Amino acid sequence: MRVRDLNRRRFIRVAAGVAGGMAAVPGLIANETYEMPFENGSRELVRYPEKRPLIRLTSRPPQLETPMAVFNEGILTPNDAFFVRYHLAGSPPSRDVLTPDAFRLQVVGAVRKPIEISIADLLRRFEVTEVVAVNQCSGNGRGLFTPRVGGGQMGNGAMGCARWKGVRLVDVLKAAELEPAAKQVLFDGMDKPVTATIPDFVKSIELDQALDPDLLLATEMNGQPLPWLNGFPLRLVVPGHYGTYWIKHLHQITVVDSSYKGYWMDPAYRIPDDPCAHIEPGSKPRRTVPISRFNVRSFITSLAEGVQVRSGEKQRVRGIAFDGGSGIREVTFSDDGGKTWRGAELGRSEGRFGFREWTVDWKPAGPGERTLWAKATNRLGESQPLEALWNPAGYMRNVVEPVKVRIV
Amino acid sequence: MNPRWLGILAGVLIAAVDSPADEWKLPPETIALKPGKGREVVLGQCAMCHSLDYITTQPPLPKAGWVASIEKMRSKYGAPVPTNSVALLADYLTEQYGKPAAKP
Repeated sequence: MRVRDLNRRRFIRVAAGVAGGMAAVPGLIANETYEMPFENGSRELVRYPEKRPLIRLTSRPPQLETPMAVFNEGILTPNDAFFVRYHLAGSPPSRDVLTPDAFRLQVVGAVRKPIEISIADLLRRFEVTEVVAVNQCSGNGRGLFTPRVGGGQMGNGAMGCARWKGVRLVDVLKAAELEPAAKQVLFDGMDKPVTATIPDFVKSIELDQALDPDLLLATEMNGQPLPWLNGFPLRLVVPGHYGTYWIKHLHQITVVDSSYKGYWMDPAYRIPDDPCAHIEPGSKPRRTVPISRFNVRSFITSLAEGVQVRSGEKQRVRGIAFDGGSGIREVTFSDDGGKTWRGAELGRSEGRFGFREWTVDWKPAGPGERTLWAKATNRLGESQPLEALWNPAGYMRNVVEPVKVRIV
Repeated sequence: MNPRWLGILAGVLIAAVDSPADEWKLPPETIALKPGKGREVVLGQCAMCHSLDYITTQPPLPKAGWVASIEKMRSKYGAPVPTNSVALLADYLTEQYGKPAAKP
């Protein structure tokens, strides 16, 4: 396995016919580029509405990734740096259909009292609450898979942690009075396909999970209305679960009495039916299940790949860790490629679904190259593998991510 | 050049110079495909539904990987790619963005 994480090594340069067929269209102002740590990883840094320049993976629909350096700014990822992921080219929906006058949330299907409600009324009628939670793309880190797999080629920046504010899904479902036959709940946003043949992006959640009070219909992140590209004016928040369920521009909730079989539940977004979602590289899974909870991950954020540090000069190494909602129990740190490990100090908890900061004192002894590793364990005793797991869709990467530094 | 693609390109250029004051405008697409046999067909068939960076950011896939992608677009997303265009598309994508088979 290639154990480089050049993710943090930023080579900024002007995009002018760079490798991989990315060529500037004549007459346009060239964007700066960001080098991902894998083959064909040149990306433009592009500024979108309400966003600082982010790593652009695709433009129609927009998919934007957060530069790793942002995660050292704090455990809440700023709204203007939060990653963006859409599936359908008719995204994001036009601002006109999202205004307070135009936008309504509907709750329909196997309910006795269907609901159609504006955002203002939703916030008036139901109790407003908050949760700090990580959202992470199922394919975060797909570009780092070995062997490589097709799909969106992201580094590890398709994740972020925010304070989400809104109303509990369970309260809204109860107000709609579920029929006894209710089995699943479907979620649909206003982003639409460009042709009738492309399946609309609809996700289903089992009823017992939908009634979990952790799930929110959120209108705000980090004290501000949701940015347009993060689901304004309403999105589903499913703490501890992959972003595929966090439907943006959520306008229709449908309760059904059967198991939904739509494309985005099957065959899309499925993992091998195996405790680690891992199969032999290059092989095909025998049985699959829908992707669900995050596994355990951690990152060193204060030191970027390739940086120089001074021998004998003590410093505080910092990073983040998170999991699918049991909470982080321990983070250990190694400066000798995993031969010896010692415990890091955990920062203040913002709840079991958020990024947890960790710090450790480190005195580089050099000169020479050193590989730094951080490894987190959650309260269930689950940890991170030292060898990357593999599956054909490139989901759920959680290998210990090395950072190589040079001691001088 | 395919007239539809010319239209898209013109739209992109106009969008780029159009009122920067419009804060809700999405930045333009900037990807141009490498020259090669079949390029116009790829532009016509693929750019209808998604930007071309969906192609150019892929790892160097073998031909079977590109064929699988094209078949997915046809069968799962209903892309109207004629059967007799599949080989041309796959050859272009493999040649320009893929891993051509090892020469004997």
